[in-house]
Amino acid sequence: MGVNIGKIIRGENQVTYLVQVENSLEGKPGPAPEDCAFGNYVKVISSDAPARVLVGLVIDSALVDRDSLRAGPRLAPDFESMNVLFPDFVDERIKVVRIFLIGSIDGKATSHDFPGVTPKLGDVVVKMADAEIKGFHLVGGQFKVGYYSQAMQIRSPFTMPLMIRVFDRLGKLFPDQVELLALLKSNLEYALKMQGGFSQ
Amino acid sequence: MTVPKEQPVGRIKGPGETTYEFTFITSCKDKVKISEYLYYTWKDGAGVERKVVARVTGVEQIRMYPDPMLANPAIDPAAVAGVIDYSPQGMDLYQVTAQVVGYFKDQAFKFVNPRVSPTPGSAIYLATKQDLSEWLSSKKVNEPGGAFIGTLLNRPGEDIPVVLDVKAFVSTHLAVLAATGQGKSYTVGDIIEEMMGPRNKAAVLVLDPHDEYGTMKEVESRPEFSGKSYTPVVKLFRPDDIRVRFSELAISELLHILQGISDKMTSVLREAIHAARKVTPNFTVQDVLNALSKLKTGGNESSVEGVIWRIHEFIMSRALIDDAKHIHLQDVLRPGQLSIFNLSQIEEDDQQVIVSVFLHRILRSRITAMRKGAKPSDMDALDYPVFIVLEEGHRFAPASDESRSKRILKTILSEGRKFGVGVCIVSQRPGKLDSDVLSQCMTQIIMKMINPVDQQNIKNSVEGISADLIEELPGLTRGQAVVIGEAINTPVLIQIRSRQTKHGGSSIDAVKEWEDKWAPARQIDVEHYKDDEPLK
Repeated sequence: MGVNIGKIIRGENQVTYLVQVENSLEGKPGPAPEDCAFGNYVKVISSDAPARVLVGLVIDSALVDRDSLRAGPRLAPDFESMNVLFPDFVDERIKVVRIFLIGSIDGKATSHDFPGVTPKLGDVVVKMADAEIKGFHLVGGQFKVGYYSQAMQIRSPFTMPLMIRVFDRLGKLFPDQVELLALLKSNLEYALKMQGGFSQ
Repeated sequence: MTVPKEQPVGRIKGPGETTYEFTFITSCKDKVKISEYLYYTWKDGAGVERKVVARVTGVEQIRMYPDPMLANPAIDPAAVAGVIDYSPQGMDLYQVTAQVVGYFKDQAFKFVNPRVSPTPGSAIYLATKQDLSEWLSSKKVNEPGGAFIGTLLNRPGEDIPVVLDVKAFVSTHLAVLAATGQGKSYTVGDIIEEMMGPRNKAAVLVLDPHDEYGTMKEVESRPEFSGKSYTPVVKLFRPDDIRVRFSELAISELLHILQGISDKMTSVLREAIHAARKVTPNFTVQDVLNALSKLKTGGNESSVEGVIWRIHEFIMSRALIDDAKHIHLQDVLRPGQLSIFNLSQIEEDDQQVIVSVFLHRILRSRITAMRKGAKPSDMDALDYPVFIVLEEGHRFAPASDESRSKRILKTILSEGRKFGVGVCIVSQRPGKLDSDVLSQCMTQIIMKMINPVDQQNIKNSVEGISADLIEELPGLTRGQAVVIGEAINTPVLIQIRSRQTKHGGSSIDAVKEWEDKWAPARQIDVEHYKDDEPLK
């Protein structure tokens, strides 16, 4: 299966959630940076209904240093010493990613609509493997990116770069759809680079 | 009237830009074509539910594929829509502008405009075949007084007939206008076929400058044009047959032929003709010249010389005016007879003289017959209405120049209604046709027309033609036409019906003829020319 990214720690609305990325504090090495990279597909596994997974995209990330701006003397002279003297100190410097839910897989049924159910705090978020991503985009045997319009509704400067990345990724997974995906991508690139980059 | 059971094709949005327009929204693009007939229901003051007919005049797409989806010609935008999980079926949405024609009261009143805007949100339906068959034409197929010329263009599978009211176009004239090769003479042939059948038994004269109507001789022998005791007669007049005896011409007709004649010359001519007629009613040109010679006295010399010169120039030099041969009008125009004057190989100026002389004679005869009655022995008396087809109308009534036939044509078009002289003007250059002449033709059949000058003249001269119908003209294909005017209840787009007789005006197949006539070039014997003298 895929690489564990982390657990849901906060829900911002029906479709946007914050995931604390696993780190060594939890006894495991944690995911590599590219596993929870911007534009990656993830699935949220519900502990109540393991057959149903919610599918999302990593749309943003944040780094949190709980000790940031804390004044006061340090017992250790440098960062490496701190790690020896206070091993939990470094691990409290966490990474959080924001995911946007784009659909669900319930058994064999795949949906690209807003999920009606919400994940729970603590639900595990896993990076999706290529085969899973392919399966998610074949709805009734037809290639679909049904969440495109919903994703474009996210008010974020990252929406267009996100979807450009998505189309690039899908182009590699579905070579027969490259031309069509290029058309969708070129529209976004024009909007991002020409319309966004030049004011009239 | 019962509530319609048909499925609505749209819902009314609200009033349009002009008083008689309204708009509605539809997704049924294929059903709602330009010039299609629709209706909505409306209750009049008495509570009677009426079907108010409207004609589509404009269609505007208001929901469609975003432009970027059309960026790659190799990719079907429907496929793109499918991928982003949108079914494009029903996506395209149209705002349609329709012009209210009115509710159909009866064949006498035809359409009555309700003068009330339709209620927004109310349903709009496609007019049914039965409705259209009743509404569009005042006559039915095979009904006496009707001329079936084609079917409604927008309903190709339904064969909704369009039948002209013969009485209407004979009394208020007809114009058939189209660019060359679009089927003018073919259409006129259809109309003549309808007129010569046993249900109409018309008296028709065709003035045919291109020898296109000779094939209509078939009308005589084909059973579909005959009735119980009726068989139409078709007479073909060759250029050599078309003669008018000098002594039969009225002074007014002579004056029209003798161009630039002064009042004094007119007086001298009148006196000379009077003197010649005293001797014999069948006087000759020479008799008049002799009489004129006797009038060369007391200051009359120059006027007499002027008349004599004009008689030589305009009468004796023309084959049309003859001392003995004569075509009586009853030889040309009789109920159940089609006469075709083949004017090909005749100079254009002479064609104008022929048209002018015969139109003068016909109008004079009709006026006399209606005012004084026709003498049974008078072979020039026409005591029945007649219909004259004039091909190349712009030659006989040009817009910019004077022609010998223009004045009489204008007289007939403005007054012919009272005397039962109907004219069908056929022209490929309505822009060059006198606008008064065109505006007097109260029924028009207009086919493909690209030239903007021609379109403008039609717009200026044809009553009731709307901008949307003018816009249709360049897009029509051969055999399609807009019919508008008195002989039809409301403007229609039609597909002209097939001819029963052979069409005589089809274009020459040059390539086929070249192929047929081709032979190997003769070998040029170089040796033979070797010793020839050089050409000087």
